[in-house]
Amino acid sequence: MRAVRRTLIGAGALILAYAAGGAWGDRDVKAGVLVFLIAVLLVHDGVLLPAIIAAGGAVRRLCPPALRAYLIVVLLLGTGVAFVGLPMLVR
Amino acid sequence: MVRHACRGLTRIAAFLRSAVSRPPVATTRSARLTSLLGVALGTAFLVCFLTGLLSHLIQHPPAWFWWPSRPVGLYRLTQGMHVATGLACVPLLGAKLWSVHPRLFVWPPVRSVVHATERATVALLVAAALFQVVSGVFNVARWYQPMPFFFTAGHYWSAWLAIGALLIHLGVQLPVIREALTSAAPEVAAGTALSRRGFLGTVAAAAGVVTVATEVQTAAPLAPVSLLAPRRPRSGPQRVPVNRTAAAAGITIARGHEAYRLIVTGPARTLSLRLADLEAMAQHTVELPISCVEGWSSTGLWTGVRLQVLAELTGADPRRAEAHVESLQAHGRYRASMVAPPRLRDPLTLIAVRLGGEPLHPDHGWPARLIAPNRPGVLQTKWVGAITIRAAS
Repeated sequence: MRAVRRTLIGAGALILAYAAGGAWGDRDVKAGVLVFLIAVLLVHDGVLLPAIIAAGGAVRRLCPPALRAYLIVVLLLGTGVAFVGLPMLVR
Repeated sequence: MVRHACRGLTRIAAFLRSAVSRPPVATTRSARLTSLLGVALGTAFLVCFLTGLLSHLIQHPPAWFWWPSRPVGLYRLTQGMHVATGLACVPLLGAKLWSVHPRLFVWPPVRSVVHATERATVALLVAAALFQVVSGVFNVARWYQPMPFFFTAGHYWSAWLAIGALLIHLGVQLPVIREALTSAAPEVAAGTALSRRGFLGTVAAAAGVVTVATEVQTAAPLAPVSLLAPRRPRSGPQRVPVNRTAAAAGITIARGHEAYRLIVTGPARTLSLRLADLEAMAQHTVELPISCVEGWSSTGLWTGVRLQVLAELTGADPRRAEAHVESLQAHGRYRASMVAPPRLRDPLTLIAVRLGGEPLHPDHGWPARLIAPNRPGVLQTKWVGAITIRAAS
């Protein structure tokens, strides 16, 4: 297992170096890629995740136990569809 | 006032803390759940990565790469899989990140250099995975304003970042994953709102819903249930969708304009053909799809002259010739495309002048366009003005 782990980590590090070098040398890649990379992480960890945690807390507090499972299913499906559908509506 | 604000903030923090420690599906969160989600997400991501890499190679072929002209709909299938698996990653990635989110708040945040490096690669993995999913969804929606970069290049290099960081993550977590997947499933505590199976089933259903609602855009009989499809297969002029219109490309030739000439340059001679000359040559009708990189595809009945015949007329050997096809567009990344030997000699490859029996609509490339089997829509050059035939290198 140790050999497999070392191979995976080594291959991953090489690919990261290839990606960084390739992006650096690509005229079509500008600082905007780095900005977007950081922005999606910040928006997920700073906005989306707290909102989902808060929604979970609200479900626990406000929803009768018998209905919780159904509400969670609806919320999960709705979030997935909204994530894909909203860009098509607002663009 | 300040005291009130502080009390409010403390309450919000306490609420979030309690929600993190006691979420409605609390007892379902475990290393096993995370590992199962990881296997599903990893599989979808790998298929998405490989089909995306294939699409990149087809559009920017290195010397060693070869892509056949048949089966006609192979690219339609692989690109359909790319978009379908990418969309399935939306709920899978969301669920995977949710299943491990308490680790975001571990204290102290960094214990050692190794721990810091591992957390940095996880942050990179999460950022790159989110980058891929978000930019992919924006591209399907053709919403480019929020992306401050050229989509194709950013999406391509970020995919390599994600795969590299994913392999490192797998290497680091392998013992945990193995233990979680080989040991007996932990018992689900009473009072759980949603069981592990219920949660996984819901995530799978969400993946199915977003994929079906978007992806069946490519299958005309299923179009009515394709609620999120940005491009319906039968929308657009002549019942085939259009991404780039003649106006957007700056093409302003009036219909019936006599000035149009298609210049075909080959090893022995150069042809200068009017539209009437093209129409007077042997016409062939083929049924071929426009398969867009964004996932939609639509089949049309195209009529025109075989590219192979034009190559022969200029004195080229079509078995070993390639064609550089240029649009009348003055600018644009996709104003020209290469047609490699297997596709040039394919009898289905046409310089088309008609769609569905009618002259091409300007948005479909009037006066003449390239249509060839098994290649991305962006390489089906419209408003063709010049073709250069040369020996394949």
